[in-house]
Amino acid sequence: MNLLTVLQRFHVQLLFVVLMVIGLLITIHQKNYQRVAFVNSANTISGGTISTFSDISYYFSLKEVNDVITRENALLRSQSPNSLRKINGDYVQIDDTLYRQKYIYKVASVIGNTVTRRNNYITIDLGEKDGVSPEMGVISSKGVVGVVKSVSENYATVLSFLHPNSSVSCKMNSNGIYGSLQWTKDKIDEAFIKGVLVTTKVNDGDSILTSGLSSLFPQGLHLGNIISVKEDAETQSQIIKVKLNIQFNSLRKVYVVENLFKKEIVELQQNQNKLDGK
Amino acid sequence: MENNWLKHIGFIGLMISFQILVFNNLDLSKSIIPFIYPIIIISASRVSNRSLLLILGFSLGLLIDVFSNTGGAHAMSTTLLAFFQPYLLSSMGPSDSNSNKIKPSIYSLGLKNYLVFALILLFVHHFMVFLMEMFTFSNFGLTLLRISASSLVSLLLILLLQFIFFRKVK
Repeated sequence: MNLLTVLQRFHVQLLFVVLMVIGLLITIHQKNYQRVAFVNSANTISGGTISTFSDISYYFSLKEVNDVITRENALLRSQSPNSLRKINGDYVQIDDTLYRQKYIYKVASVIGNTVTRRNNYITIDLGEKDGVSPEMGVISSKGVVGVVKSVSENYATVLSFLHPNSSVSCKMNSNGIYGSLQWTKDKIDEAFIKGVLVTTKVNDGDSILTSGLSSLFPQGLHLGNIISVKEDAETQSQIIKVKLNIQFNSLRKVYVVENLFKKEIVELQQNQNKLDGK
Repeated sequence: MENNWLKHIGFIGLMISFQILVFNNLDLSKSIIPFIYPIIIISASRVSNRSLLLILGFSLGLLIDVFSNTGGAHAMSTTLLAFFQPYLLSSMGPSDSNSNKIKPSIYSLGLKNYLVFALILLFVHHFMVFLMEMFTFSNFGLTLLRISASSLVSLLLILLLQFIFFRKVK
């Protein structure tokens, strides 16, 4: 049998194998290169379609969105200079040079969001055009949403916190112990912190805040509260369960966080890694 | 004949839109995700060109992938489905030249045969989707449960679709 007859006889099987291999390559490609946008909803076509339908369903939750915005407005109003009482009359703050803006926030609408999968992603309506780039943090008023994974011209895909690869650097409010918060994978409002030593005293009900160590999210954002603490005898550590404030299934408006000092921080860390010979 | 083609394409478009706009956004429970678009491949008749069916399956899956951020999971699953469908179909029902042109449905195969036929294919498809999405064999028992539950829900939906879209053939 020569090659041609073999090809002719088994062309269906061959085509099958070729297509399966292509499919596998695309899958692996997406799993490994998280920044590369190839097959995902940040694509302009799919982004456009999803956004149209999200616009329609957006009307149905306007009331809820209004409530959230009003509450946030009230909070901001209470922080504005007008709401503050001047205690020291001698100093007036005109243009303060002690503080420099570190984070700026961009408001984005959620146009696609999954919560029932194991690997969840969110699509937002800001893209490269609006200055969004991969590895930027995304938050809402109630906690961390995720990290921007890939960007097209008008849309961006966000690696949701509800994804096994997501973790947020956090700290406990009462004792300042740092940890890494991860999704439990079975409930959309529960996460856990691993690897806290048994000797550390953990208070039930304690608040969990962002640590600000990762340069992705601002410090002190309230993420949730501790609901249970379990000891892991094998590793001599505690597993801390946290109830999240944020409700992923009703996410509408989110903020993309841009850290103005990020470039500087990353450069510094890279230099250090080079010195260590990594 | 032309009219027939239009009908086919309309049906395919409708199923894809249903999947992307309705079922992808349906939160039945954390474990159950129904997929209805495989009905397009499942309903291919016995005389279909097998290579063409494979390519249709692959492109169909890839389209679903683009809209649901799943890499190539659906592309692979639907290709697998398109590969096995003709084998399974040829082992089912009468095979005279007349029945070869008929699309497999509850009317042409009979309810019992069709249930077995569709369930096997749906299970194969869902198995691949879930496996590719998780990309691990850990916690396999739970995954298997999710696959089975999702397959059954999909089967139910596909049966409903049959009542709506498929006509009885005399």
